[in-house]
Amino acid sequence: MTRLDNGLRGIVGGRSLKRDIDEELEAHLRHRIDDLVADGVDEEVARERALAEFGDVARIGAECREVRRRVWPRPWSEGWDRLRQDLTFALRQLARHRGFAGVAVLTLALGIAATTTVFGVVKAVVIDPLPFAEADRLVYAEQVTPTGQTFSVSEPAYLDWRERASSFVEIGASTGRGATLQGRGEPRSVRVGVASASLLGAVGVEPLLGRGFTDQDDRPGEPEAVAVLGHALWQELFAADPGALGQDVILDGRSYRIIGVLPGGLPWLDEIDLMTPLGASDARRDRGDHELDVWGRLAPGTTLAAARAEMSALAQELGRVHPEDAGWGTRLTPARDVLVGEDATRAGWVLLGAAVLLLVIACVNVSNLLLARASIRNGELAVRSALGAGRGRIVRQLVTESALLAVAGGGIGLLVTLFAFPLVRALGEGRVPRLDQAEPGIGAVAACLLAVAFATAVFGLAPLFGTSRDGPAHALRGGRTPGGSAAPRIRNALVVGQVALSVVLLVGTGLLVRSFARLASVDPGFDVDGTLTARMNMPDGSISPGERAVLLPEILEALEAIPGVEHAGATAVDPFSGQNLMNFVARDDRLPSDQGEFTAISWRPVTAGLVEAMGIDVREGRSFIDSDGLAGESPVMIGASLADRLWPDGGAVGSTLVWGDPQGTRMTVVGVVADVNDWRLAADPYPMVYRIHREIPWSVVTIVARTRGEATALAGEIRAGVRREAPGLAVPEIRTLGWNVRQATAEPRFQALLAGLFAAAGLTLALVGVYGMTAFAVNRRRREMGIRLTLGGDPAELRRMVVTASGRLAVLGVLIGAVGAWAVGRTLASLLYRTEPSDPLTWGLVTALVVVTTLVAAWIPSRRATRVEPREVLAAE
Amino acid sequence: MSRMDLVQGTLDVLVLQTLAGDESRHGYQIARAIKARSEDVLQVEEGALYPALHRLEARGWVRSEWGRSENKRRAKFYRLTDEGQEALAREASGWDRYARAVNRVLANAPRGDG
Repeated sequence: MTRLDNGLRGIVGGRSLKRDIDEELEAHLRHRIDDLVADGVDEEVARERALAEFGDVARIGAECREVRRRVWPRPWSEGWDRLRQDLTFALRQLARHRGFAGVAVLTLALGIAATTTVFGVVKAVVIDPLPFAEADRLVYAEQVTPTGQTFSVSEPAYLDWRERASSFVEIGASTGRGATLQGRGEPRSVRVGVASASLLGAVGVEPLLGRGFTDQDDRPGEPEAVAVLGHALWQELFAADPGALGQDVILDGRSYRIIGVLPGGLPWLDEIDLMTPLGASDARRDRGDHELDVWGRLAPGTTLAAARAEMSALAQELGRVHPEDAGWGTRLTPARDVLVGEDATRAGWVLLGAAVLLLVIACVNVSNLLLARASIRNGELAVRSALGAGRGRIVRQLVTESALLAVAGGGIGLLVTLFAFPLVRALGEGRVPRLDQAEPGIGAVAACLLAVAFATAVFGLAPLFGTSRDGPAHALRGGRTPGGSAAPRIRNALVVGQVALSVVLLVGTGLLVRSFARLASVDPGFDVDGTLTARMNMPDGSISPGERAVLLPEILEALEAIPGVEHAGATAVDPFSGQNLMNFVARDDRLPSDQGEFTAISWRPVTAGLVEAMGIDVREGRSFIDSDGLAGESPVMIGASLADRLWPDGGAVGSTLVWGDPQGTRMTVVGVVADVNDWRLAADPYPMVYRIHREIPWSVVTIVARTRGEATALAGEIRAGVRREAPGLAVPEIRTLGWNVRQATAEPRFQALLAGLFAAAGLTLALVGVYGMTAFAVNRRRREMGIRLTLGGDPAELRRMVVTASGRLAVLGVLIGAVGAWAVGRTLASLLYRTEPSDPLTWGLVTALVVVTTLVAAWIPSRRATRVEPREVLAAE
Repeated sequence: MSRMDLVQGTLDVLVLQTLAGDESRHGYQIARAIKARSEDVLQVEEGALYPALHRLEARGWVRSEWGRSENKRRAKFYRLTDEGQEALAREASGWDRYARAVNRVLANAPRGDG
């Protein structure tokens, strides 16, 4: 204690009142000893006599301090002095009840760590503004088919909008393509953003170095090709050297001069390695060719609703002029919803809510602990009160203890948070936008401090309900008010509240966990295990479409010759890359006159062998074979759900489909295959058409190889095989289909993980809380039970009475909690995959757990109370 | 006459009285002086002096400062303030009246077993 005193004095600084008084008393004793020694008394004896004459030094020192405290206006040093006294006392109290203090601090730390971590994550992912100038005026524009499907924008439509829409100060467009970068080390695949000159202005981004495109750069047939370098590639290729400006890079055999560098840290633009002008590239003059991502910046004073109205009117007008656009509409979405995602936003707020709920439960738990202890300490407090400690002083003492717990809990919580952040970032790596920017910044620390303050306030109040209500004399007599006092009602309310909060938290997290379990076990329609993938780029500059159609089957054949590779095939759409090709088909024998009545479908250019390599079941007919498309015919495979829709009575195989519009290509259905989910795992099966790659030789494909045994061992051989067959092309990175699936599930997995952690923490805290609260409430009735037993009450009957009473509270709590949980479930609905907000398993389990815990918590102490001699119970009181 | 326990107000008056001169005294000196003047009749824990000193200082009747005592030790010296002078006069006369009243009563009372 002495060391602590010194330590605290060091912190407080200055000359404290206590030291002043101690020195004065010591001086008195020294003088007395001097006198006695001068009279010839031995020093030791003199000291003893001096002390005996003086009286109790500690008590007298305390009296002196008390005198000063009562009368003087308190200077700062004395405020500190008193605080130190309170702290010392509080520390001693907590040290004496280590178990209680440990549970309280850990409970708080858990609640505070969860709140702070989640706040940091949610802030980075959801709350922080997008790093675009005036991001709230940025909207994303799409076209909508007559049947309500959302398509990217055609270039003619984009140009019409630019010319005619007055709601926007600027509209920009871009599309992505893969390309091979040559002339700087080994050829490599790069992602090219083909963008209009207006794009950077529209999204509100200034180039970090140099300039963006001018309208002149963006003209068709412009002789000098220019490019803007992405931030990551600039750092990688040029080591962030500003000298990159003016240098040349070769893309797909063509030279581009670098005129600018993009800044880093921007969602979506970060994924671009290089930007080339849109207008200067191949013309996309077809209104049926929907490839552009279009961004518009709303004019000052224009609302989103007004812009929507104008664009909708414009779409109708354009539909009258251009038959291809008849019936099409426009969709405008705020940039935030596109780049952050409505689901992520909602998930973020839900998690934040869960964290706050967890914190509240933690606080209620600790309050309950304090309440329980306060009732035990009634006697002690009453004695102190009788000795003259004012009520204010007792309350201050309690608050000091609570504050100490809160600060300790907050400190440990903050430490845990610091460790939690890198962990959370690592877990959510992949598709959780902006998660990498999450850090325990000022906001999180502020949230932590807020949480501590909140917790302290809650604890500070709790013991007041339990104690000082009846006055010291009452407590000194050992009296408890059996009825009449408000305390039992408050305790009952706390039990009900605890149960209700727990139900809300547990149902919410339970639903998310269930949803993910469903998502994780969803059948993508193909077999992920034992596959390797390689993304290949065969750009126009290096290889013509005709050569490509020949080269790809040769590469695949070479791969199939590698021992251990069973099948190899290729698809133009990388599974779960977010890419999805869409178009329209109709039965030739029931051909609608208007494209608006065609069926919207997803489609994939694939090679022979793909269905086998991916492990997609062939339901009817056959899959593609090597000779398909060689004779100029158009064979197609279709997915089962499309076959069911167009041929509900069967007979799809051998029938003819029409592509795109009534004049489109006639195609023969050669097979029906199982539905696949290769776009978004959570999506319902969509109608699918596979066309033969030879007929539509797209330049970028994903090769899929099915292997026997250890797939990854073959990665080197597959790379070597590709390099041998196509020496001029970028060497692909080898991955697995499993990697693609993990990428696709990164976000829901992350959500479920956080929800799971919450569920575990929440379950622990909630059940501990419900148990503690109920057990405490029942314990408070021990005296009453003792009296009843003495009066001849039946123990079993008594137990039943107590347990029933608690059960009633639990049911009430569940009912109240159910209302909250139902609302939470509704909010979660859009995040849930094939899980109803009313999921019976979740609800049943949560209700059962909470009610059973309450009953057990009531039964155990009531049994203890009715088993012992009633006299003991009464005496113990 | 047996020794009497000192009651609180008495001690205050005695302390003020001890400091009545112009010179300041430290606690031990005050304690010795009280002891000498009351001829050891008043039995008091010497320590009890200090809460009284602090009480008087808190009321503004005395003020204190640290200094060196005659045997070169640090000690806290007390001195009467003007307010203290007035208080002493007031209290002393009050006490005097009280003492005389008690004496009168005792003189006229029948002898008890005290």
